[in-house]
Amino acid sequence: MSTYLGGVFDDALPEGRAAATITVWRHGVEARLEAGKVYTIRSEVLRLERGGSTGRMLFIRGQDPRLTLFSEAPGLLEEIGTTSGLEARNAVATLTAEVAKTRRATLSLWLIAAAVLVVLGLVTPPLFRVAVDGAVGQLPLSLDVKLGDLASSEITSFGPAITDERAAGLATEILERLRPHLPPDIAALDLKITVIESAEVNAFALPGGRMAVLSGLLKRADDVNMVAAVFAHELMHVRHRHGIRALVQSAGVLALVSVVFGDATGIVALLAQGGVLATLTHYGREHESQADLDGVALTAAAGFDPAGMPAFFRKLKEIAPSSEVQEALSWMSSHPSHEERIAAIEALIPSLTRGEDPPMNHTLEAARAALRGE
Amino acid sequence: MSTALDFSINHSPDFPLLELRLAAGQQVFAEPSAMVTMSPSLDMSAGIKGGLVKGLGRALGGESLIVNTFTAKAGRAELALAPGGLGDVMHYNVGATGTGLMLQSGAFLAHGQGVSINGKWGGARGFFSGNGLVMLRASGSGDLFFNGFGAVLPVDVDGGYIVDTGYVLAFEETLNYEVTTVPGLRPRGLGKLKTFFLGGEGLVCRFSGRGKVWVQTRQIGSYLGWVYPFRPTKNRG
Ligand SMILES: [Zn+2]
Repeated sequence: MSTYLGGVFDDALPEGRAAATITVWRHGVEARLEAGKVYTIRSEVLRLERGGSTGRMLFIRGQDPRLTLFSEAPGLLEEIGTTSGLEARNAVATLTAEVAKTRRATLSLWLIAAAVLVVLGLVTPPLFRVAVDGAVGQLPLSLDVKLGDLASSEITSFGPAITDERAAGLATEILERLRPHLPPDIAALDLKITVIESAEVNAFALPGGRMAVLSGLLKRADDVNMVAAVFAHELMHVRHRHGIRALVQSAGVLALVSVVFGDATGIVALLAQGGVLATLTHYGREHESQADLDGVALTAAAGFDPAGMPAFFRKLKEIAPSSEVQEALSWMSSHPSHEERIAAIEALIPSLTRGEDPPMNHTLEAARAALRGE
Repeated sequence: MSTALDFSINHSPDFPLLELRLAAGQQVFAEPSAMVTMSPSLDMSAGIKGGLVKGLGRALGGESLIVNTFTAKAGRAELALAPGGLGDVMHYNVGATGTGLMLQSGAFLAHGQGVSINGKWGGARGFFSGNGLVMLRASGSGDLFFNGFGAVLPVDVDGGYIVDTGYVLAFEETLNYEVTTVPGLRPRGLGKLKTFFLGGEGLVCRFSGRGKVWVQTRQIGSYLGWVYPFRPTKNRG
């Protein structure tokens, strides 16, 4: 015979409950308070229930509705099943069967959930895309801004911001030349670009239009057209709201599971809790080619040489193998410069009309000198 | 237990200070940087209480891996502790009612001997409540102090009770809970997604059974949203 730690709910007690030591006898289950009071629930009227926050709390009730014994101690249920009277044993058997049934039900919910995910994610991706497009269309642009703000603190993790007018001013001037050629609602956003001190050849745009260019890119680019090409590509991720789309794609599954089952699974939640910046700037291949094609059109409209984009991709390809700084080319790792990608851009260029190309107030040469500390 | 702590919580609910009077040999375990004042005779040491695994569990629950241990080695000593945030401090006698306590991550302030704090996988329920995936679970027997944001209301639940997820601070383990949308407000289809994104409005913790729930009167997320427009902004170079 063992004792188990637990408690008692009884309206007659000062707080309505108290801790108790529980013992199982043949005639019933007994709970003894520290103060000495003893409660007994007789085997023949015993009812058992599992619950509580963890789902492992055992509640023991009899005929008196105001009295409940409870314990989470392992082994208590088994002891009731082996020690107490026949009626109590039946109660244990009923509960055990119920628990097994719930387990099977949970398992089948899991299987259904998995099947739904497979169907949604794999078998009918076009349908899923329509759902995502619909969902993104419903969300206001101000949400993009909010999400961008959320991730903006991660920008500075790449390095300190460069405030030298020659570098920061060049980045802003290129952005401002592209801006009027964007759709009005995007052009009206608080588009901003920060130059970050880092050897990485990288640039990115957060939802809502906050952008960053790492100084490595300014050092590696041959001319302003190449820089404008990358900016235009990134701006197209903002325009097409690729960041929020990526988020809805992962969170949409989560929301769906929660709608269907009332409570999503922890694993799915974990998936959705990855780095904010990574989620918001990691785009699929389709999003990339959309950004390429619309981006190159944007550079042309803004008067930059559209050949700057394929030229920059070629340049990345050419420095990559000869360079020991493979990781420094991080824009390339997220934007693989496949020949077909370059070919698709080049196929589009002849159809583009290039806008007026006014002289720039800032030059790449001056920006580079600033970056070298001259 | 005979190790019950002699304490008082003053200046509640806004700026509470937990004042403890330790008898010789008594120990208090507190989150780092909670110490405000202490007697010079009090011995303080930092360490990972309960080993690395428990420590990591706590860390996942939004608490520090390190717990400071205060020991009254040389006779009686006094210790004052304060939480990092603005909100009331509550005392709970773990084990006195035969049940453990579930705490939102970050709510732990201090505990006496006999209590253990672990990270408890809250699954998606914790995730949706905006408090991370892991909750804290206090078990054993002894004194526990936890802090909320704003004032804290203890509520005796018998039957059912609904609290917005952001305001749930702690609850006893005898209670069942489920995170759902507000009944009757359940939006359909895309509306659901919209609500999900725009501030987590409409998600509630639905308690059932019997036990105590501690509700905090402010929510950190809403508060930050309120403060945000007033933040100083840097001039751009
Ligand atoms: Zn891209």
